[in-house]
Amino acid sequence: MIKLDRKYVEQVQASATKADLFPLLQNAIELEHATIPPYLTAMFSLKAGTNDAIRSLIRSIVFQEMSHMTIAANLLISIGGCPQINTPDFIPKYPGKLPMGIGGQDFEVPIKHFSKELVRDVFMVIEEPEHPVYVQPPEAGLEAAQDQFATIGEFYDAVKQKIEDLGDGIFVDDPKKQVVEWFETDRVFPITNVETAGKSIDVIVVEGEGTRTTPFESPADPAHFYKFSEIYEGQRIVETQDGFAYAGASIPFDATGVFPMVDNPKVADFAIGTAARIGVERYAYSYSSLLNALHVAFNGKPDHINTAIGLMYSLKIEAVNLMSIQVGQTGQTAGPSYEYRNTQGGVSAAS
Amino acid sequence: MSYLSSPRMHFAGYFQADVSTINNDVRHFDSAAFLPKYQLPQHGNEMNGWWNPEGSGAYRLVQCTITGGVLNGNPIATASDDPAIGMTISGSDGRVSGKLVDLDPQQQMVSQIWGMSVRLTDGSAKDLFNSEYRVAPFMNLWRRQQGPSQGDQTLAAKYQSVLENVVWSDTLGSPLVDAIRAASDDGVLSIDFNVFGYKMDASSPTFTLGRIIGTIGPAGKNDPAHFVIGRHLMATFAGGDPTTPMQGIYNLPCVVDTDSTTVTANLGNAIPISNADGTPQNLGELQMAVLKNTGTANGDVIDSSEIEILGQVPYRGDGWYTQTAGVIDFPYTGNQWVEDNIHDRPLALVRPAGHDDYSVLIREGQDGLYMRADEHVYRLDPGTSASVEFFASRYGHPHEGKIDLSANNTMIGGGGGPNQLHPHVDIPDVGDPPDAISYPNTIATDANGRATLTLTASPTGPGNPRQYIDGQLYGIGYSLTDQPPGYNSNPWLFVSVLVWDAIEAPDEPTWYRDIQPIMQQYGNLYPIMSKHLVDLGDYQSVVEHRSILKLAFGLPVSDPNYMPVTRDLSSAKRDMLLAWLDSIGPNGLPIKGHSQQSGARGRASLKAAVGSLTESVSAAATAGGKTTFLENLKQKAR
Repeated sequence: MIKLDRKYVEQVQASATKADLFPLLQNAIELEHATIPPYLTAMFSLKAGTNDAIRSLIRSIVFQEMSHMTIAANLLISIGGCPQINTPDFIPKYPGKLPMGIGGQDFEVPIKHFSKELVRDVFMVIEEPEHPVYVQPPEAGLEAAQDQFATIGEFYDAVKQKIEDLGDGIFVDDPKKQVVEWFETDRVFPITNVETAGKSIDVIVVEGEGTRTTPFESPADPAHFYKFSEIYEGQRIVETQDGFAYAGASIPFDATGVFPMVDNPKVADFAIGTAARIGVERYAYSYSSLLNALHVAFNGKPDHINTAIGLMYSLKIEAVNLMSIQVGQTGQTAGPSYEYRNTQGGVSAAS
Repeated sequence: MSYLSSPRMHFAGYFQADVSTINNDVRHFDSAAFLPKYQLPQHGNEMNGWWNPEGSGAYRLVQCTITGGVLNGNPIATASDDPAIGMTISGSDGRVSGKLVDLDPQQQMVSQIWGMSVRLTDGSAKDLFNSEYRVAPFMNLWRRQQGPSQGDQTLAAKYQSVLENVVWSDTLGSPLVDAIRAASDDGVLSIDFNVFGYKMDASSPTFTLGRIIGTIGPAGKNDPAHFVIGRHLMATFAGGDPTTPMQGIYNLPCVVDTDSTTVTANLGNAIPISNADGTPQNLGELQMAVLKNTGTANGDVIDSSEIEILGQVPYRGDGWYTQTAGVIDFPYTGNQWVEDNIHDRPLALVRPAGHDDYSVLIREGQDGLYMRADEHVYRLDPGTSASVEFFASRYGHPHEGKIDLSANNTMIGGGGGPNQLHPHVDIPDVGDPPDAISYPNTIATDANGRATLTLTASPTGPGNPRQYIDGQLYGIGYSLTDQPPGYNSNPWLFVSVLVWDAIEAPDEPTWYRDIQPIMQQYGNLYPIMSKHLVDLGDYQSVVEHRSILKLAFGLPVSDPNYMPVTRDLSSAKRDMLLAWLDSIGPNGLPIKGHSQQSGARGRASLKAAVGSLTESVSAAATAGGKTTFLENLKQKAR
């Protein structure tokens, strides 16, 4: 369920100044980031040359999550805040809860290889809209959100409303500090006033949840929840005479095309001196380097996003490398860990 | 001033060189004859794409820590001596790793590190300094590991360069690092490191990792970046094999500081090791000395009247190599003969040989002469020039003299594997046509011992003499005219130049005619890219990723994200590629053009060309790229 602790909505509503919004928008950046490691890992676990349709769907979601994180950061920058991207606490603990109480107290997000169960039990729960559109034939009976919880959509609606209340005066006149390159110009654009802020928030909400009337955020492009449900159902959603149905092109899943990586790999799980330890430290270091690069980009040097992109490509190669390292006797492989690391080692006990 | 100065700090740890090995065989550049199996790892005697076909080119510093240092002439060994001890030397934590790049498959002996940051950090978020490693190739490759190889490369080498754009923390908290900073010109640092024990066995946990032990010290802005002006002890090589010094000790640089009356020697790449961990081989007692007779030669046995001993080399002590990087001070304060004579008598490393005798293992070059090009690896576009800086010295002082220059292609060329390929591909000749590069026959060093050589590539380029691979390679040998007969020169001292082909780029380049032949070659040679990121030989994949490709191909060549990683694309071809990525064809995407018969460049005529291969797979098949390249050179020399 895409629910979050209602207190965050209330804090937005209670904000008296733009400075009150800073920590809440920082929360939003952390939230948008928090889904990237699990989605990315599932995507990396699909072996090259297999499961292309699934990979392509997840990639489109990951790309949008990256743009949502960027929009949230630009929002914060636009009203004079400074995103904090490269602190150890910025990365959630996996398995663990998402920021802002997303999904409720019992909902934990793991780092696992791709499986349909992972899609259904985790990814679809993360992305579930406030008012799902009925698509035939999914499991019936999606529960309504409980009262103590709000939804991500409500949170962003509250932010939008608050920005409207505070007015154009809260925006700092330095849009060149925002990161807009690499994204479609109608989705990620400089935020300079109430109007552009509102439009940006709509992008996040619609791409994440869709609308109340259609699963599609744009023609033939379902919102995240529905893309994941397409993967789970194995078929694309199409509009029929009787409404929406999983009756489109098939999305085949080849279970042999998945690296059987261990669940929730952590640096400390692997013995020093093993290929797995060396590789997982390298990955964690590179991921931390990516956050460092993003921090620079979001703090006055937006061109630095190019440097960050280089690291994203490097991470892909390092992940595939890790997922080909056998660990233990069970045929499982090592996998990526998302821990903040300032240096890389693991070759031998430090001298 | 250099890393051999005091103050200095030493570090030790590991490096990763995740090199791609498909390009170890020049014949794999022939896209028309390329087989899918060349992207597979070596299997038994089947070389395929050699031992790491999916290498990424990454070069990383891993788990390197400061292990020791020298401040005010005193050794520093523990964190209580100075807090820098135990700190980490690392690559960048804000961008991708550096890259290790060969000049060419026919010159694999000057692999350069590109785009590497070097920083000193205390393990928290604080960097004491952050810097850029100036591109430099390895030097002084030799068969250093004497014990059996367990999937290790037994060849070892060293790198020397400078760290530039140094950004210092406001407060360093380390007297040692403070002193190094204060001693440096313009915040430039000097760095030297030895690499050995590189693992080529894919089943090893440390596959693609090797050991690194080095030194960082102050740099002078007028000093050469890649060697030390000082006193160079030069080995004798048997039968022209540059990897096997006759007396077992490899070349080493020393400096003499007459103010502090100290000789500082760098034995870090000189003493053989018995295993991949770098345990120095026990050669018995070794002593640093000054020879009284300038005519004493490597291998001579002399008595105590012909030598003045400076001190012992404590290389057999526990942790000596790790803690000192093999750099050692020999004070000679109070030794009047040395003070009076060290300015024109050769330094030497000797071993007591019983009674009153000493074996001379390695001595300073005859007449104290040393001369070399600072940078010696160049990539030239047609019609462009490069300046090569030379420095000559005699017993460590500037030497005015003349430098003879001439073509020397003995250490380049070859570059095929030990096996036959089917279909057959010829190995191109190098150095031909000679007139695609021009330079004077002689240059003169000035009173500062300096000279500049201008290399000029002809505007028409070499004319695609190697057919399936761009450009042509040239080796340029150099020597001092007044170098005495029998001078122990270093066979690795020559300039390597790759001159790219001239092309006439069409106004509207098309995929099939102009771009695909370039990209297909990269796609073949670097499958890690094609399998996981962009299939470079495929139009659809390339146009889908055109934004990121535009970024990568448009970056400065020094950027670690620059494409191609191998830095072997001429400016003209890169400009054509970038123009094509910007072009808009009838489908709204870069112009595709019409498919042509690929590889229609007349294989028959190539087959008739000169060059033959060994018929069987030799022992070199399991010995790694550098070894195989060397074997090829030796074969060529026969």
